[in-house]
Amino acid sequence: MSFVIEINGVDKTYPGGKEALRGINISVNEGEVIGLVGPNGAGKTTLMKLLLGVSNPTSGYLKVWGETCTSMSKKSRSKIGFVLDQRGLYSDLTVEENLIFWAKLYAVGSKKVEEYLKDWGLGDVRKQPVNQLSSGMMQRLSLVRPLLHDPTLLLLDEPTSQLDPVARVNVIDLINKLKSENKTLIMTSHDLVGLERTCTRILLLQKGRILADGSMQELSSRLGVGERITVRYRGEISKDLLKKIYADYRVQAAGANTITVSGDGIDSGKLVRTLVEHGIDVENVEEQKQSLEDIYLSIVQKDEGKWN
Amino acid sequence: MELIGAMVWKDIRSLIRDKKVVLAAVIMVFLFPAIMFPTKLIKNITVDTGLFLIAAVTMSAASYLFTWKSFSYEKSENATTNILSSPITVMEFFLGKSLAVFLAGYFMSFIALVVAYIYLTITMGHSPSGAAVFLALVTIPIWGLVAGEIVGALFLLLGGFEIVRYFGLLLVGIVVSFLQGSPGLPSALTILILTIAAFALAVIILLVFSRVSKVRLAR
Repeated sequence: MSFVIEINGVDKTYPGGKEALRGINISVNEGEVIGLVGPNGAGKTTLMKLLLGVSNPTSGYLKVWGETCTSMSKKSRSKIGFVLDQRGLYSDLTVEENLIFWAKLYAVGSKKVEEYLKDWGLGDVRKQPVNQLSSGMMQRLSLVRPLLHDPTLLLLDEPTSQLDPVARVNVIDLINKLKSENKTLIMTSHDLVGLERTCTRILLLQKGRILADGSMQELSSRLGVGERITVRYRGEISKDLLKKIYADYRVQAAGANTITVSGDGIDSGKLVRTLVEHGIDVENVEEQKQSLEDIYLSIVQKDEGKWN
Repeated sequence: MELIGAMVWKDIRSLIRDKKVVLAAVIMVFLFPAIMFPTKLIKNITVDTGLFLIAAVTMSAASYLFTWKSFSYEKSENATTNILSSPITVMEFFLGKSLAVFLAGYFMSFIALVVAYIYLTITMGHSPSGAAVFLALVTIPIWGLVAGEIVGALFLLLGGFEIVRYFGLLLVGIVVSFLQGSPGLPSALTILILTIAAFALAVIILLVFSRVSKVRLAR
């Protein structure tokens, strides 16, 4: 089976010795929507640039549709749509001119430009120079650009940054639409809720290494952070009882009259019984599925602990 | 060809939109002839050498000004990485930018030449020779293209502006020293050789530059 993207043993060290990526191995199948998550400086943008063939790996290789990224053919490049963190919009050209230019680069007719200007609410500002747009509008424009030529692979670096909540939801809907059209997507974002709602697979990068790779379910069960239970109670938990709870559960927080534990397949009934048996008056039990944010924090904190 | 056309279209629009660049171009077109002829800045000037000088000055100044604007603009907008990620090749990118600079410079030089042609014909009683017109309209502009390519390539490869500035000063220095000598027009054969040499050099620079990788340019 051939992959859309194949990344094998990739290291990237910048001149000056800064290590951006270490031992990256990823294979991406057609139709996968991958969320690249990680703190600033984790290597997400570097990976995007390597995939676009505008940066060289120090070792290893990256292939898109079987072609090495740095020597990708025109045909392959024309099937990729991308948004980089540096938007690359021409500030003194108008919104319409920016789109016409990119349409020309991808041999797309002007009808398509009209269509997108209308659909994305850019019709009213079409004659405005980009430097007069709000940052949200600019981001909207930079998102339209890679869609003009109907690419089959999309590489989106922070597509939802600087968007208002409504526009953010629209982008999430758009990504889900692209997913239903079997497009392959890789995107980086700090909007973990958005990623959770769109991605079929999450890649967690930290200090240039992949810390986790899998679907939400796989990650949560692998890390044992599938659920979170918060118990509100009246009374005081004795030291012995607290010790027992710490021994049996992963305690996330223990405050005045609340205790939060997390894990995979936790028996909330058992926890409540334990508390009641020790004379604690349980007021309320709240069960929550773990979010990507919980998983992210859990992995990153664990990794930080390993290195500190 | 479409991608080269797209680059030319975009760059010319950017040049027109920049008021400072347009103002500088207008000053160059009218100021130099206005100073040179009435003040007799260059001695022993003839109709032919007058036309040659106008072409040389406007084209070299335009090459420098427009190349600076076109290439630095791309960098300052952080657009180089984006463009190079598209299907455009390095050759198309470089040729598109160089042609945009050339066309804008040629337009500016052409207006200056029309003004100078009329002025010289009226004040000196006869029109410039065919060789002078060919030199001004063909040979010098192609050398302008070569100069633009060199400045653009230096900027893209070395990034910083210092070296490009020095090169620009060198270019102006060459023109000025040429003016000081106040040479007569070269022979028709020399003009032909100069034209072919300029064209060949422009093609060679383009071919050499197209071997530079996208990775190198996106740095």
